[in-house]
Amino acid sequence: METAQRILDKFSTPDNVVTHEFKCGKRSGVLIVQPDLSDAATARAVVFALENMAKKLDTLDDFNRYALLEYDVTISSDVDDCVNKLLNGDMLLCLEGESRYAVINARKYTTRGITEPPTETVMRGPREGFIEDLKTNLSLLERRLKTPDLAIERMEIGRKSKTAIALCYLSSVADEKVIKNVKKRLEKIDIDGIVDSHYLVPYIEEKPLSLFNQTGLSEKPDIVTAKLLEGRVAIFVDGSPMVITVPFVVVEEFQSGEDYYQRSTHGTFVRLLRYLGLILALLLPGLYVALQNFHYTLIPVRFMITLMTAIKGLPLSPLAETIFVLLLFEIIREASVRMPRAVGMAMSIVGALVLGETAVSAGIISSPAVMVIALSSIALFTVPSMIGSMSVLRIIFTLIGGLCGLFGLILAVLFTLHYICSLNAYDAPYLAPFTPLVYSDFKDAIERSPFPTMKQRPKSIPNNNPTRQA
Amino acid sequence: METTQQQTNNSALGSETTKNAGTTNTRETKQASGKQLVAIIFILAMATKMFLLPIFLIQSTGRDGYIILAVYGAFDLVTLIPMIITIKKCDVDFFELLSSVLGKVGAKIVVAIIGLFLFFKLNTAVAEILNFYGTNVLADFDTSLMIIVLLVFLAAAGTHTLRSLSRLNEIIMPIIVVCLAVLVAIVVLTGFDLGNILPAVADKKSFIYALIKHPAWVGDFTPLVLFIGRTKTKKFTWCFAAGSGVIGTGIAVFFAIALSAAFGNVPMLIDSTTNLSNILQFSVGNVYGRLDMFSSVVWSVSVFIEAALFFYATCRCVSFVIGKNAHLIISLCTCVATYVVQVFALTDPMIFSLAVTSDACAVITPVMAAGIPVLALVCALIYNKKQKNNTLAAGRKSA
Repeated sequence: METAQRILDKFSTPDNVVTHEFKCGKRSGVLIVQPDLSDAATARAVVFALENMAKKLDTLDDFNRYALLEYDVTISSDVDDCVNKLLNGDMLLCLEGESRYAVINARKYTTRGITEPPTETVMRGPREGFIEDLKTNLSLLERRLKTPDLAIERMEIGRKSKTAIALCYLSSVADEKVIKNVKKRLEKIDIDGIVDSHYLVPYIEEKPLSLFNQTGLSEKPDIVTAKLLEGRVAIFVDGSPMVITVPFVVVEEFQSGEDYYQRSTHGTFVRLLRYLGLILALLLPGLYVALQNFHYTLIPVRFMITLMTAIKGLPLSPLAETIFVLLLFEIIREASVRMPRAVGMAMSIVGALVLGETAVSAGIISSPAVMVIALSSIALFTVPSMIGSMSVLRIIFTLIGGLCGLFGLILAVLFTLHYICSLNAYDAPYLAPFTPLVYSDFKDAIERSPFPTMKQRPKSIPNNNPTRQA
Repeated sequence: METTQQQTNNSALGSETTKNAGTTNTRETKQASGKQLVAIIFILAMATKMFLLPIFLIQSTGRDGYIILAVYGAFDLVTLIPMIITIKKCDVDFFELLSSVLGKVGAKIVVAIIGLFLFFKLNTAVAEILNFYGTNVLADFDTSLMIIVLLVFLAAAGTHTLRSLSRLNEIIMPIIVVCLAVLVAIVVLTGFDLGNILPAVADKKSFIYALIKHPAWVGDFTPLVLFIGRTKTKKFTWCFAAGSGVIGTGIAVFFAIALSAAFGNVPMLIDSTTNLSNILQFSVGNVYGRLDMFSSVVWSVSVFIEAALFFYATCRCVSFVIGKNAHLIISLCTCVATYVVQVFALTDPMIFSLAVTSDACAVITPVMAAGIPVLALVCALIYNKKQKNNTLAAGRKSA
């Protein structure tokens, strides 16, 4: 059949699809199915219904009207569009003498169940996480935002992958300029394939080469819902459980979903710990080396005596020693992430106990250096989304502290801060509400105020409707 | 209930139009906010004046050093008034203002002169930083290498916007204030004998000599010209701006008094290792480490920021004069020029001392420090009058 052949010709290996020939009255036709993505039962049912049809059917519209009433059917004459739909799991019904196709929705993929995402585990609060199926993910969102305001704009990205993307926002809250900007950036993407939402991140960010995250990534529907309610835009990608949100400000790195499900006092305390943790993680090794190398007069005498005893006879300079321990930690961390869980415990014992302890007792490294790096590394994990970038920055700060002392360290911090101050994607200052100062946004920055006090949406995020509650 | 809530939000949406929301959100139309201006004025008022100037003054005139510093501070505060008025009155930036009043060529000549002055101020600040870290904080400080680290930061300031610099200053400000508070607490708790600063101006000759020889440290508010027409201000920003200038100057004078009380009668003992930022005589002891020194080192960030402002202003002047917005190239060239001046021309602190205390410097610096704000104010008034006349003429024409 010519119409069916036109479709099959598009495939380099036509065996990928299955054709079912049928006869309905005097009309014969072919049903083309992609067996890996379509429901086989639907295909069987359609063929059975058509072959047993008592009524005389002439045109494709008749088929749609009488025989395929219980299915989601669209009629199309665009071959490329039909091929695309076939590749998404739809079936194509071709009739002899008819140039058009009936596209029948028979999509059925195997997806994993909704589980708690491993990257955002909580003690309290919802445990649902997004999965790889876009439809399921959107349903999780729609269940939480039952408003006609919720806009979902769909598009496809990827010449080959044709990945479905959904842009979600609350039309009465999100800023038009932000929506327009995001759409413009997405539409500009001309790539062969998108396999995960992370592929989109550099296209959406203002400075893709930057060390700092400029987009929010979350696997949890409650978090994405909360962000939409603050005026952000979410980007869902089919095949990825990670949802991108923009605009993004640095305080989001220090916020966790669980902060909102516990007493505000504890939430505030935990946030303060995270800020402190990040400062310690970043500056402690650099400060330790700078003080040892150049500014030992700043160290209290009693501590100095202890330190001198510990570092006596070490073959490495303080800088080399600290860099060595830092690299050791990074290698152990990377190995334990990649390693199968079964050998993870053994790895920890070998890495932390055997290697660390032996190196200290062998006199290669000192115990204060191990302690400083250990404290810094543990502190780093208080802000998990920043581990990658902060690990790099920590090594740079340590090198500068060791080579130029406090002078270099202060300048390096200033340089970094100055760079961060220049980030202003989607009109949301990256360091807001700290700079520019937005006092009202402090309620959800360092502090986690009780909900009744948060009457306004964050001003740091451009939005159309500042009032959150009366 | 849900309907009520929906209605509440919808009514809020109705009253809070996009236009209104724009004023509440952080979307910025200007480069700096009023708060950032206030913070920058505070830093400019006290940073370099607290650094090495008190030592130089005490070395020159003994216990009257703080009076000279107060005079310089007062002079700068006076120059701040026309600057603040201009920022308040004018809606166009400084370069546009000069171009419309003086013409393009005239504006370029004036900006070139201002740029040279700012470059001089930049080098004064950089020389102080290198001197401070070279003698106080780092044992084996190689100026020619260490300056590169500083220049990298300055180059970053030159290539980014005034907005970034203002934000940096705003975020660093609390740390500087905390360090100042620690230093003030140490000075007050350890105590100093105010009787040591009396009688005042006993040796008039050395007092006048020191007063005439150190005006290189006035004119700290001149980089504020870049804030003209680029600052989003509110009703009371001007009061806060003036207030922060006064407080900043007051803090500088306070530390100068403390230092004069300690070393005023023994000026031969003072050198750059005993400046007020490294208050050896007020050390809290070894038990807690050198908290005072640590605070002063962190406080010195304010001088870095002041230097960055001078650098940024110099780059923008160069950019205007040559008529190109090649910020990276201009920044790199300014870095090279600063490196050459610091490493080859000002290698010896004595050369630096002679340069900043020269007669030419004593005349030119105060003239520039006062002249720039006054020029800006006059130009703003002329510009506003021109604009008013143009509007009237256009009104008459249409009538």
